[in-house]
Amino acid sequence: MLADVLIDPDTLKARPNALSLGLRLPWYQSLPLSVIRIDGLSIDGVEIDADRLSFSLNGRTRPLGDMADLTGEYWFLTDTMEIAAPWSDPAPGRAYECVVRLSFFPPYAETLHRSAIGQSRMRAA
Amino acid sequence: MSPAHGIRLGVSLYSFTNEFFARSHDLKDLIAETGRLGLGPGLEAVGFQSFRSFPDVTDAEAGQFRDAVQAAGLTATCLGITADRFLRPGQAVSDEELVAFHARQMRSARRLGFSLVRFQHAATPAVIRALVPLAESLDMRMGLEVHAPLFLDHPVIEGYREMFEQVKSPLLGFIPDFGAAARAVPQVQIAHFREDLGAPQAVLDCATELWHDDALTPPDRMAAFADWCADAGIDPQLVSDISLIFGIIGRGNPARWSEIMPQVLHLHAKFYDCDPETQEDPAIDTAANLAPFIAAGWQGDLSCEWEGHITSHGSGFEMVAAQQGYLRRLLDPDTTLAQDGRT
Repeated sequence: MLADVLIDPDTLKARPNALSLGLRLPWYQSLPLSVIRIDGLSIDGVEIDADRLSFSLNGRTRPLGDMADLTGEYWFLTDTMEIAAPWSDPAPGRAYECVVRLSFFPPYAETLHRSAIGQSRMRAA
Repeated sequence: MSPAHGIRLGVSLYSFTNEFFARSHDLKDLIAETGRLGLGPGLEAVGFQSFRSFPDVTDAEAGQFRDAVQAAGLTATCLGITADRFLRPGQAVSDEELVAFHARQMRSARRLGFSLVRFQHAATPAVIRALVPLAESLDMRMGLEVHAPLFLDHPVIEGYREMFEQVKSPLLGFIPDFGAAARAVPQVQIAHFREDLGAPQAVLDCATELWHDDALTPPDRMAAFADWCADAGIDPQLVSDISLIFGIIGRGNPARWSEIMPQVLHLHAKFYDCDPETQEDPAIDTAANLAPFIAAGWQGDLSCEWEGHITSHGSGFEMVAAQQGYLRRLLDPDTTLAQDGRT
């Protein structure tokens, strides 16, 4: 069952002025990044604007807004995508409540649309 | 007397989606375990599931795969490719772009050692027809998966049947998926909706009743279910999750597989569960699906395809081993009964 594993367990990390966490693609196959949407991320109830998020995958870190144009780059299904949000004074060792909403549109089916919600309280490394 | 069939057993690595996703097994592990457990000899894969460099598989990745298949004593039978027309949601690419996208996947299939690709109906007959010269140059067969919610009399499938008649290429044909001719909604899915998602019994009763309503088309069943749930104030996310049943399992008559028998290139024994006593899937009548092929003396590969990962974290290996025991009894009852000491 893939639908309940959106947030990769124990992946919250305190970065300089940011928090990051890992996501799994809840689907049976890899998908082009252009069909992936991060619909929302909240940390301790604070919703982070999508244009302030970045993602790290395939060895590169880019603004979340770049994903829509990446029709030829894939999220391999066993890889963890890291998304990072600006956060003042992130504290290693402290637990944060993280909620992520993700949608995707498998490109071989015009009307197929799946969505997933991940919620996890994780201690930042 | 019927001619003897030549159905060879195998498995799709899709059956082991749980193991691969959980990262307990990488691709090489899955192949080795398939061989060790005797779940071959046929081995099917999904291009965008198994291969990191897909759709343009590198020589290095292809070589590693071929070596692993050989070491496990298996044979690469069929590769699933996709018809990615909507690389941007809501915006279709042209037929020319889709032909080129299929061509990349077909060349990768050849590098990986496959001589058959399973394509999706969304490709369209025009795109597949344009690929016949490439298929000939690669000596690559191309099979349309007949998959729920479509069945043989759906206009989309009929369009392919007409094109196949016109082209008359032995490289073009069909891959029946037994889930298109099911007899019931899998109880493992109903249990998941009820126990994991909290679906009320009345909602599940409505969905099940509509799934069995042969007066409605699958889209009409789904629409009727959505209407009923809207009136009842059911959470739209739950409605979307349950609506899965109208799309991935169908009500086709398995006896009708005989209509396309000469053009069948490969078989998919889709299943969701195995009865602990009989190993039979309560939802998909595998015996009824297989009967036309046994009767016709059909020759080719059959892949077991467990799709339980949608509702379970269970082991695909255990499920496939159970289904193959059942299939062996269907395919070779005399030998199997003798081995079991039940003659």
